[in-house]
This record gives sequence, C-alpha cells and structure tokens, in this order.
Amino acid sequence: MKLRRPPSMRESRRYITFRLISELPVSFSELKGAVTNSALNWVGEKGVSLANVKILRNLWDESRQEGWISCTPKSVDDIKMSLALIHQIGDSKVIFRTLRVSGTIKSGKEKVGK
Amino acid sequence: MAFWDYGVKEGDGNALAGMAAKLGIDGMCIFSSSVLSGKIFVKGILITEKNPEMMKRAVKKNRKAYAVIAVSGTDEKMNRIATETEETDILIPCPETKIDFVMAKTAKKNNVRIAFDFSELLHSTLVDRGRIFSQMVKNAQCVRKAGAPFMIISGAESEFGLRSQSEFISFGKLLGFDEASVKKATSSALIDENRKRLSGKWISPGVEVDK
Repeated sequence: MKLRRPPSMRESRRYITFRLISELPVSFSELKGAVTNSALNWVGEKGVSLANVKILRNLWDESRQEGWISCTPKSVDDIKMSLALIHQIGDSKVIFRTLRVSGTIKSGKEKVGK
Repeated sequence: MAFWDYGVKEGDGNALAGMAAKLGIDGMCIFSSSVLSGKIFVKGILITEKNPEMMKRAVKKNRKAYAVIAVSGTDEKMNRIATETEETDILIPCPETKIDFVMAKTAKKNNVRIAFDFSELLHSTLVDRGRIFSQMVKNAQCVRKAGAPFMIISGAESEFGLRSQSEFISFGKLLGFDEASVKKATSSALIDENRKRLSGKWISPGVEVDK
C-alpha cells in the first residue's frame, strides 16, 4: 500500500491566476525562468522554499497567455510582488496582471470565468 | 472604487490608454509636457527644483494651472519644505531619502500625500532594490504612525511601467498598509477635490460659492 500523508497534514495552498501582457508571445519555459528568477531575487532561496512556489504547466494557456502559480497563503503578496517586478522576458517587455487568488483550482476557474 | 495612478512620468497617449483599459486603470495623472487627450488623462506637474525657495514659488505659481502638483524630494530638506507647503498634493521622495515622524505629522496637517514609487523598485536590482525597499518600509512606518496620507504610484515612463490595482495592493501590504487604505489612497478622491478647486467656486476647505 502506498504511504500517503493524512489529509489533516496537507498544507493549505493558494492559486494565483495571472495574465501576461507582452509585446511578443512567451513560451512556458521562458515564463518559468523569469518567474523563478524574480521570486529568488525578491524573497531569496529560503523564501522560495518556504513559499513552495509551483508554476502549473498543464494550466498554462499559450494562446491567451494566462497561467497559474500555487504558493502558501502567507507568501501570496510576496509572489504577486515578484511577478509585478518582472518587466522583461527575453527581448519582450511584459506586465503580469493578477486576475484572482483562490483556494482551489476549481473555484479559481469559476471566478475567472473559464 | 475607481483606481487612479497619479504618477505616470512619460508615455504615448494611445498606448497608455490601451494598456490602462487592459489593466483596469480608470484614470491617470501624467507629468509629461506632451499634450494627451482623453477622458482618463489628467495633467499634472512634477516640480524638480533643488532650491527650496524656487520650489515653493513654482508650486504656488502652478497651483491653478494643473490638477495635480507633485514635488520630487531630492533630499531631507526638500522633503520637509514640500510637506510644509500646503499647495503641494504629492511628495515623491527620492529612493533613499528619509521621511521622519515630524515630516509625516506636517504632511498630515497640510494634507500632502507621501508617495511610494513602484518604478524605483522595478528599475533597480538586487542590493539597490533591497536598500530602497528597506528605506520605503521605514518611511511607511512613520507615515502609518502619524496617520499621514500616502499614495502608491507606478512612476511609469512607458505603458509597460503601469501596474494594476492588485499589484499596488500587494506592494502596499508589504509596506505595512492594509488593503482598504491602499484602495482609498489610489481612488479618485484627490482628483475630485482638485477639480472642485479648479472650478472657480472653491474658496477654502468647506467654503464654496453656491450660485
């Protein structure tokens, strides 16, 4: 039998939905690099590890340039700030616009209206 | 509550308007000399004089010509003089200059809003960014303690320097302000008040000509 954490030990998460406004379309790998670097610069290695930042690959919509990031509830503002501090990816100028912060992916999708 | 950005330094009118629509910005105050037409733009002036007397004179001279008057505080002395000048709307202190408790109290008395410029963080890197943010947190502490009015501005020099309200709220929260006060600080309150002042019916706070 597979050993699993009991549900009571599962840590709470927040899902940040964002839209990328850019001069040129951005790929997932470029996005991931930029977000990770910015988060490392803003909150540091310890901060990133405590925030448990994950950029959700399967929810990245390349055509609409919308994506999801999950982190701990305490670090939402830091992660939003680190997204706001990204102004360039490659040669393209960008703006990250946070659409919603939700507790589950399902509720996030409902709020954003997908 | 409407969301206003009171600190756009430069930019092309159409591009700014397009980006504002995407980011949910209801209005912005522009300090550039270029002529911008549109409902969302309001013309302001950023006074960058380094001589306190010249600065005071410039503020008083431009009070009736511009909807928003901002002063760039190049050092502590300029910050103090700007907070003592009643005609000033916004004080934008330079990244590493201090705002002490006395200045914050004077700003509250004269209703001078102390601005926190997001572009200072955006265009700085690593150590500099840390130093600038640390000074901003200290300034915010004094502003909060004195109950002085404050403002968060983008300081954008192009349409890609603009940010949405959600990002401003996060920035404000990291500075120690609560969400409601950030929303109030970025609302249209200042521009509504100044439009009333420019209408010609306004005499002094609480006194207006009613025809």
